[in-house]
Amino acid sequence: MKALCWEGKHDVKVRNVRDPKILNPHDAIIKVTTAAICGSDLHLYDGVIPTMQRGDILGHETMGIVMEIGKEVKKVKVGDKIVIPFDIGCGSCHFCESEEYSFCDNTNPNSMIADTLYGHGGSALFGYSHMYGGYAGGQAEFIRVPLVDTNSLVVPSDIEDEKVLFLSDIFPTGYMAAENCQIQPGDTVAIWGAGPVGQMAIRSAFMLGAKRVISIDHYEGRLQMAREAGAETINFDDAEAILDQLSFLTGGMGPDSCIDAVGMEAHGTTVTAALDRVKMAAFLATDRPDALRQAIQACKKGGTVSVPGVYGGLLDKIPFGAAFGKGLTFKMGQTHTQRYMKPLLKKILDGEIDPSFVITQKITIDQGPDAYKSFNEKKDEFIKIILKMH
Amino acid sequence: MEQVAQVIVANKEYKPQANVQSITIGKTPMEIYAFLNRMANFALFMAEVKGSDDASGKIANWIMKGSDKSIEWKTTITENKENESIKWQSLENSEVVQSAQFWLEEAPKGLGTVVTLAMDYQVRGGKASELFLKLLGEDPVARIKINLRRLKAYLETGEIPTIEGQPNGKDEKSGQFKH
Repeated sequence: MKALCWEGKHDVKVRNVRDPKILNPHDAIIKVTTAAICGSDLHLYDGVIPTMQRGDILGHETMGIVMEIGKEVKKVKVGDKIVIPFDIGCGSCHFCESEEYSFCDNTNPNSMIADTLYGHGGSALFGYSHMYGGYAGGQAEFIRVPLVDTNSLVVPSDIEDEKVLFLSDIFPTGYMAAENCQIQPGDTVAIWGAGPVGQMAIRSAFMLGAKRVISIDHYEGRLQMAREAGAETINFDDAEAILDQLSFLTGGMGPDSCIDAVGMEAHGTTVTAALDRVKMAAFLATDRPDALRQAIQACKKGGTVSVPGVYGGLLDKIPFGAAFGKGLTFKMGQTHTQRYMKPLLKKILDGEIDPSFVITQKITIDQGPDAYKSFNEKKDEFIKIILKMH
Repeated sequence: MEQVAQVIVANKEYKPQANVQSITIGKTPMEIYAFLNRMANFALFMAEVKGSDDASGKIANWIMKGSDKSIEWKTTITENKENESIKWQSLENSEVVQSAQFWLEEAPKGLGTVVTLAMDYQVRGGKASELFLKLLGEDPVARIKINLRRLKAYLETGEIPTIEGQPNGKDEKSGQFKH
């Protein structure tokens, strides 16, 4: 089969690889119908996520038709159309039973790496480095899904893929980020990053009762998409001082909650951002948290900072004094996707939201390598790329 | 006040040291004891255990492989306390002298069982011992942690996570997998 493979920094190729096989009794093999490229795939493309190996198949936003199931699979059937969550849960450990699927204990065969780095490693992820299990991803014609009864959402066969694909990652991620803000009716939420996760977070924040959402980015195309959802926008290339502007927009109080939907590769032009890049290059720091710093500075006293990520390693110069002085609450983490898939599917089927608005390009797998390059270089034009297979 | 499992474990006679690790598994001590009290079952979760010679399942065959050489030895359960502990050792005249023990304690908050594993090795000397120490690696505690994780995955999900045999971009060079 054809698959998009990571070959090194800024090097993605289409390779002919073996078809996936059932390896464990709870596996299923899926014929992929549609997959997507995620902003976090660009961290892999940029070579800033450790433990990638040449030949690793990329992709963690996948859906398709079940072709074959292992002998212990009980719920999913051959022929079902499923959306696959990006995090891999087992359904049986304490964390999965508490619906904290991205904390799963039992799906990462390389758990030692994250255990050492983080104290306790969480679930494996599809297509996201060997620290997260090294599982082959879904930017391919077929994918093997372990423990499929836990790691699937069966969707109506007549629904357009584009409407439901984003239940695999970005819609639950944006929704959980907004939920983590602990929004009270009438609140103002500021969201750094107007990429697909930010876009979903904007709409989710309104669903959860926010009165105003302020979207911060420097790509006009993304800010326009945010305005279409009813957000006010700040373009940080123009704004002299984001923090002053946010204070002004909120009557001097600061937003009630702040979402950092930018993560570890913030592209700020401030002094701290420049220092981050130097440190990253010299391996003195691994992540560039400029959006997070601003979120902490801007947030009202007693407010909440919500971090859907992605962060991988170490941060420097975080205004923890400000966070302490203002008594901020931090809520963060990899999305517990499986928890949100059914309730968010209902919102889609009820017509409350159609996540396909975020798609800007549709390509074939052969166009994948060029698409990664364009996505990385032209973020104003490339917001969300989907791959149509078969 | 009921002593929590972690306290009991920490107060045990052995000194908490590198080659002892523990994990919490969502099964009762009775279920785990029944599973571990048969040496042959170790083959279901320990990568180093290849199977059992013996119809009763009382003896397990262990093997550690290097790139071209390997070392083998057999073990059997020597002591057990129902639902509490299982001790096993390599058979007499083994090249590798292994002694190891599982302890089982009920975990707090209904989380199941705290399973503790200690594994010690001594090698008799000679070429085989060099190889064995090399295979054991610089971090013997890693092997214990891995075995406990595999035991937990096997007991809680019925399988051990793996990616061995999955597709990879390197397949293309082998020329075997044509589109």
